[in-house]
Amino acid sequence: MKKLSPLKEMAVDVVESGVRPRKGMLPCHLGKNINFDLEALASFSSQKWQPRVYDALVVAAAVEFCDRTLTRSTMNWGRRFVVRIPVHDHEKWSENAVTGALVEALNLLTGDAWHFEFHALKAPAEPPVQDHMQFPSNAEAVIAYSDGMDSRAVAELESKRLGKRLVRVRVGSKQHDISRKERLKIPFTALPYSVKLDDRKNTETSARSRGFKFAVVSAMAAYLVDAPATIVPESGQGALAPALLPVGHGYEDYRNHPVFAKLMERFVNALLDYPIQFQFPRLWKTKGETLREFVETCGDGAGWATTRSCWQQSRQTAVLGSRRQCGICAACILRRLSVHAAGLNEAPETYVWESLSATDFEAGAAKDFSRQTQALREYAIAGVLHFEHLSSIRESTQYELIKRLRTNELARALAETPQTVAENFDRLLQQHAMEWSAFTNDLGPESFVRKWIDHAS
Amino acid sequence: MSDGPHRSLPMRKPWKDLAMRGDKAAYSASEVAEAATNALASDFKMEVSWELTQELKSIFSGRDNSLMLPEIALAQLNEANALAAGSVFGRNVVACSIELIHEGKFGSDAFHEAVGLAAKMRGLATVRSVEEHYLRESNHRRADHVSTRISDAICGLSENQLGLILLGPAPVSQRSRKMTGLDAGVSL
Repeated sequence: MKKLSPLKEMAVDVVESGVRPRKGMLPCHLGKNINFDLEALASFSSQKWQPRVYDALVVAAAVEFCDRTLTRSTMNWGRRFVVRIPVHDHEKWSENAVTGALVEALNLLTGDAWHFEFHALKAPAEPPVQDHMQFPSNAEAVIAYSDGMDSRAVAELESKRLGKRLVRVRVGSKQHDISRKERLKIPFTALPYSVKLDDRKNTETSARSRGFKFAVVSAMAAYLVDAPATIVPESGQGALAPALLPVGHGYEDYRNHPVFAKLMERFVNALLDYPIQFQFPRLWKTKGETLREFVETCGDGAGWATTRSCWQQSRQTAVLGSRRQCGICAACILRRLSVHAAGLNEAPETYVWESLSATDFEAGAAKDFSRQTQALREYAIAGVLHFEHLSSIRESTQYELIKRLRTNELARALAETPQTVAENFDRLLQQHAMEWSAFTNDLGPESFVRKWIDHAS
Repeated sequence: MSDGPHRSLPMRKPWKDLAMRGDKAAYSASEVAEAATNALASDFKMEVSWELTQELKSIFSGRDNSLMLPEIALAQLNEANALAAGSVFGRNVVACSIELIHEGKFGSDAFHEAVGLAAKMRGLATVRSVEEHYLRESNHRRADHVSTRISDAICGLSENQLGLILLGPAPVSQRSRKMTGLDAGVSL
């Protein structure tokens, strides 16, 4: 009889300065591996500030540290983590309702097995300075934003609806679009912490914990401004498809999925006694539909073209020293598809792969691009097949099976009837299929993309 | 062009065997289905713990729930999730069990169906990976061919039967028969 395949394991002790880590545990030093940016933290200093908010940020940072440090096995996705964390209110954190909700959310999100042990912090952290920050008094929702297309479009669309009752929360550290003076007044202008690994070469890149980071930061911001909701800006393809179409022995991706958001609502409520709702206003729209509505509502100067979708590092996607988006990873393919569906155009130089109509993969790249790798071709194939599979899923023999399992769990998370969800789901998939077909048709029959899919559907 | 992209497939051996059978037309649909069942059974044994399957079995048989109330079973399944932590296959078995209980199904048939459904989901996810691999290593026609044959084989399996096989004793590994000679073609 075959044995159960063991999980990779790691025990991590988050330690304050001057405290020795437990024997056999990997130390994660506060102040070294987890660093708080005091200026950014000050932008979280509302009157509702309380140490549990700080603790939640430390927990999110510790989870990121674990997730990135231990690489996954190619044959066995899951890992087991045991994490000790010092917190201000360890009794609250140790309550079954809090730890249980935290573990349930993280186990679902990352596909790992998480175990936490909370203990009292020796030296309480200084509360952030409350100075010039102007917090709204009538906030209705917060929205996490980055440099991405969905977050810019949805923030603007929701702003039209809510005006100043919508509060933006940046979930990145870059603040290039905001002056230093403004930073002192506007809340939540940067992520207040960063995580640094000791060994930065061999890190895990699946980054499922990013979903937890974004959810924690936006939920804490909502709590601090007394907003009852946090808006998840992801459109349908990005929110649902990664959980619908896992590949190989990999785990479904729930980072922007309502099922994960529901578990986060439970966790935040248990921790802060604060009911919060994660909302998905664009869940049943394609990214192309969101972009079209953004441009129609906000005009041509909407600034969609300056958003960034690509997750490749700059050094891998520079052409003659200037940073571009790769143009062939799944995120870039979705962006190009959506720009096409919205009836818009981008300069070919936006991307390293200037043309998807080229007859072979290599010929599509800018002629001065010198870093062609096998990995880039593999990313491109994976991205193209992902959207092709999503497009053809309704006609496939597996559709009834997928629909049966996935629409019902979605209906429960959204508190909607399975019938409503099934109808929305069908429409979304149909719309995606139409957009994908139009997009790939326009690439021409000789396109390398078409050669990958024309007989594969 | 390689004559055997399955050789470099970064998966366990039973999946390589399945990819090979899906790729070669000499293997009949039932032989592809047989290899798919073996691959899924192998994953199940390696990834789903005995404790989890026993717990699910007892929930489906109405432990502490003589009236077979779905609410009670759902709460028990929620607890059972802890036993599946870290196992992709295990989590999917629990998710499928939740679905069947929501549909009001109890008993051993429902338990087998839950396991079979989760196995099919695993199989379909793996087919996507096989297709991607064949496209990288060979060409789209071949990728399409192997993907269609394996998908059809998996979708054609009975969930109940599949669950029963996976929960039974470890299957005797079936070595793939080499097709040699004039009489060793596709079975009639």
